[in-house]
Amino acid sequence: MNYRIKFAKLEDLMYISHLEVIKTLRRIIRRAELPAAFSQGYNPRINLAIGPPLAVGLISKGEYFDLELEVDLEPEQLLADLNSASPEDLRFLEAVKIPADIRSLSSLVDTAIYTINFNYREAKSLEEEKKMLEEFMNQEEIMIVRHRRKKSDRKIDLKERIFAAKIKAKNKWEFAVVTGSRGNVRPEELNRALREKHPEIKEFSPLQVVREGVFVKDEEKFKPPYTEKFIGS
Amino acid sequence: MQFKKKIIENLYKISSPERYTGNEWNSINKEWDPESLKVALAFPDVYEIGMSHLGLKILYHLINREENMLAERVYAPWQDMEELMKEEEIPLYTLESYHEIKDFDILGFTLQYEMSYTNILNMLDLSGLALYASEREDADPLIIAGGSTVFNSEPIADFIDLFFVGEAESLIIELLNEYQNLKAEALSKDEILKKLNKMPGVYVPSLYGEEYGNNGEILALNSAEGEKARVKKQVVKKLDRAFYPTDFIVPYRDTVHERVVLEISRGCTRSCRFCAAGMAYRPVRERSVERLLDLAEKALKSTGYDEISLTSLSTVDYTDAKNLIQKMTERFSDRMISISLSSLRVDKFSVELAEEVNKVRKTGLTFAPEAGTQRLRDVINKNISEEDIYSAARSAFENGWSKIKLYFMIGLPTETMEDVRGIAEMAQKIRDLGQEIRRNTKQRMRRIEVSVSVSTFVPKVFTPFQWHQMDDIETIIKKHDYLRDNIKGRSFSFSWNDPELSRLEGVLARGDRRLADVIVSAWEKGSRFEGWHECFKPRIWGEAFRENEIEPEEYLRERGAEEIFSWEKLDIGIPKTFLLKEYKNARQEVLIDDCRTAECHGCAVCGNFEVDLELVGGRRDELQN
Repeated sequence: MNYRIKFAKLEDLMYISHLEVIKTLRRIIRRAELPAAFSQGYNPRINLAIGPPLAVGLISKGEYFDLELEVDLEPEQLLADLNSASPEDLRFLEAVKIPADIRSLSSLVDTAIYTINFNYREAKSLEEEKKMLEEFMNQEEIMIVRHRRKKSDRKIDLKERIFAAKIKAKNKWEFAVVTGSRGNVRPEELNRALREKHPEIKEFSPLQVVREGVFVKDEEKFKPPYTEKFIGS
Repeated sequence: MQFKKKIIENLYKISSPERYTGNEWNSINKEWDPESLKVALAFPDVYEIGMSHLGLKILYHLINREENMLAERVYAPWQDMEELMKEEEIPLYTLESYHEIKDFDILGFTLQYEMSYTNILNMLDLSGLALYASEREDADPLIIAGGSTVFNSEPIADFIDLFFVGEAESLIIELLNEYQNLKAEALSKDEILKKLNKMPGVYVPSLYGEEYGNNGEILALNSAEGEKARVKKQVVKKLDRAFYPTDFIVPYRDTVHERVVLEISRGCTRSCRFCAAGMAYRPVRERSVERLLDLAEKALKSTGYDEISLTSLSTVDYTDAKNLIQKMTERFSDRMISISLSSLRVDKFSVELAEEVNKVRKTGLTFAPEAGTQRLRDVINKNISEEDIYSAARSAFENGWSKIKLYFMIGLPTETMEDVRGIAEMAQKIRDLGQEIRRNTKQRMRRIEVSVSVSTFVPKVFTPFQWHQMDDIETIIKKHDYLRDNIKGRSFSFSWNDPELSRLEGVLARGDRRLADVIVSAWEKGSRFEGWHECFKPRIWGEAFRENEIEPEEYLRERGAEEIFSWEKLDIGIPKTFLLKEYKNARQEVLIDDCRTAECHGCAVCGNFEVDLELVGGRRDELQN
């Protein structure tokens, strides 16, 4: 049986890299003694496919991976088993049975939603914040310089990479941005672009950013990748 | 705790932040009961190196098992983290509870390698502690140390309050309890140390001293009145019954050993004359097959690892090796668990065992002939012949391995350029053998690769070669040049150690208390992580020696038979006469064989410690019949 599993990676594990998360998932599955299916070949590994990477230093409340088991286990049982063998800040939240041959997470997921808690040099009213966001989003283009490891810097436009933005509460903004194979926006880049437009915003630390999760953009809505529409065969 | 937020908030600025966050699976974060004894276990190198150290794993779980104690871990911060800590005023802290080191009763260092001494100083400094024991306050944590280089810890004796000499499982809990009791009596640190020095294996360096003559020689070693003259190392008597952890911490980050590590035996009596571990960890004690299977089962369940590594000083010498490996593969292979062997000997039997555990993936196989000619292998008592080497290589190639790594040493006693040439010739012959087998086999085989790794021999204390002079720089370079010129081509790779690093290691390895100030000077000038090739700064050390008017050559010269050594405050249970006789045997190319299979050669360890060889398969001569 195949499952699509949602998990959260929280503060104690925020500096664990994407590859380390995959390795940790495999070990959790072994510790939970789940009858996982293995890949073929010289070096058999637990069959596991994870969604788009989460940058080091960020916490997330909604990441996903697909797992194949040799048996048909109730999702509640699977979640309980996984959680019992997992560090406290890696929590398994949801498991949904899926057909074997559906679109992979990496090709399906295209959106990441971040909430950012702001600090300003001077306190802002909610009205002022709304105006600031509006001004930010109404720019013709939002150019920033992307620093790339071992490659030259590149200029990119964030405008086309931000799908939506809103003020959720005072000092709390939410951005839906592209992620996965179609591009990416790093919260640190958002921060730079915001500060360029509004210098009164203070620099934020990684602790003030939360990835609410990854989603699939469906017209103007953002839906979790286990929504019926995406897992129906 | 108060630093946690500050730490987490800032870690994104540095490389590998997950070295500094802890919270790994199976890490133990006990509640801080005011009554409990708090021990910070420190490893003076980075996280991923320290996390692979078996001794530290054993201690961590051993101490945490005690109700009235807790143990937490701390590793040396890499330079970028050190800078961050200084900038943000974050003191050195433990990975479990994020308490600063000063909050602990005891800070215990694992000594594994001489080149990490400046890291020890750095860790003391980052904890806000004075470097010299004499300058620390009674309220500061007690600084203790132990581990494999404790047998010559004289260069750092001024920094440490107490050393534990030998295998810590035997007595460490008793020692900690005793410390706890004495502390409750509100005694001063000096009084406590004096009392602790009465315990076996405990060495309080401030109670011992050395006198120097006009030419810098050591005239005498002395001990304070009423103290034991020498400190005898401690050994575990029944290894099979000794504590061994199974709930190993599972790091997130890649570390050196990401697998279940099973110590199948301790000690080795092959009597290689250069080998410090072979002398220090006698006699051979093996764990039973049943116990090992049980430990493996529990550790796999607890960690989720997919590999078991069977380790010891010489894994294939385990007297029931074949049976052990068969049972392991039988039990675990259908769970996709792989088994690996460390320290293979150079013989056909080793290759057969490797074949047994490695049926599918044929990565490299490593052999250590140590010397290039039979004459020199006899000098070091390696007890392997040309025949062993080539049949092992043939067997490896025939079984599908294409990559062979060979370890050698240069600078061994009596070595001539003839012996160095022997290294190149052996590498070439093995390559030729591999290529011939590859040409004639019907199976697909990768291109033959022979890598030759040459280290410079560093004489170690309490070995038959502790008297031997180390090669000078020019000689080492000449030998490297020769090998580089003669081991080249597509099928070879050649690697060597920095000669200056080896020489410095040589100074520290047979050093005395006069080196303490040199180490402090080097640390002040920025020496850190000197074991890491890219961090080694010979210029710093040159200055440190000059400023303190210490001539490093003095420590590298041939020592006289009658000389008193700084490290003889300790007693590893092997009489000096035995070592000296072995040094003589070496120069006369006289071999002695393994006491597991032959007669006793009189190293006296068994008698001195009332232990015996603990061999699960019986003696090898009995096995073969």
